[in-house]
Amino acid sequence: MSISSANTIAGHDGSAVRVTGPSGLHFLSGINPNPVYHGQPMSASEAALPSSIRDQTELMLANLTQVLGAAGLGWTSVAKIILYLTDIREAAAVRSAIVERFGSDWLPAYTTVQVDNLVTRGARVQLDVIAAGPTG
Amino acid sequence: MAITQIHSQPERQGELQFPPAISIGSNDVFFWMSGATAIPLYHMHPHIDEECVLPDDIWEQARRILVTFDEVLRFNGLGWRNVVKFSQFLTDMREYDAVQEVIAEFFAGTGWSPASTTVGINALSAPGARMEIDVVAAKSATDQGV
Repeated sequence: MSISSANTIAGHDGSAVRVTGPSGLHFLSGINPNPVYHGQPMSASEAALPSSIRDQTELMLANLTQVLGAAGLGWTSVAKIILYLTDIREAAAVRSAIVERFGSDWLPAYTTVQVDNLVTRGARVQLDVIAAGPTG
Repeated sequence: MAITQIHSQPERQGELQFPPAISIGSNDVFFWMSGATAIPLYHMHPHIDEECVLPDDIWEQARRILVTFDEVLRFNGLGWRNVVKFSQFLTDMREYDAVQEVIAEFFAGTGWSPASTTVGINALSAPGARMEIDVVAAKSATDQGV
């Protein structure tokens, strides 16, 4: 299995990702800044979020690290990200935090949209992720 | 074919309606389904009023959507156990819990739930539509049944 960049302009991230050879796919549930495991509905402490977009992004990326790890995947397994923001003006800040996690040699295909609301009150950011890699 | 749930904290899996992720083995067939609102699956374009008048009730809208997917899944020899991903688009996030209850009814008895993402959005393609669901399903290339 190989996952590689299929960008139209060399050196630019984000236009496409190519997955070749036998590989499994991993569909992640929406990754939020709230704890991955929480009550239904969430308790007040689970739902409470910092207002800073930077802090929310760090919490979200820590959750993504946890779920990727559980699936035996790393950052270079991520083929596609859909980023949902409640304020598109925060796209650059979130993007730079994501890019930092991925490092200089890998970025997935990437879509950003602004939405009205996310599941918890005060949530400003959510990630949807598809990854490719070996499966059990 | 292996479609399995991934849990990062397996001892807490009873707490979540939807797992953090689903993995799908190689040699499988994927079904990317069109998003469905509560209007009939096959409908006129441009949309006509007779088909797009929808009940206000979120329970009824959710049920109609899931009945539509039940039909599409069955037609393809699939069941709810084959569903790997839900994307839920809601026009009013306060209706989230009601929608999850209807979804749970359809998965009842399967011992399965897909990965899921929910976002609140402004408007949908049919006037009066309060929600839309997008579905990805998978099955083994050699598997004729469910």
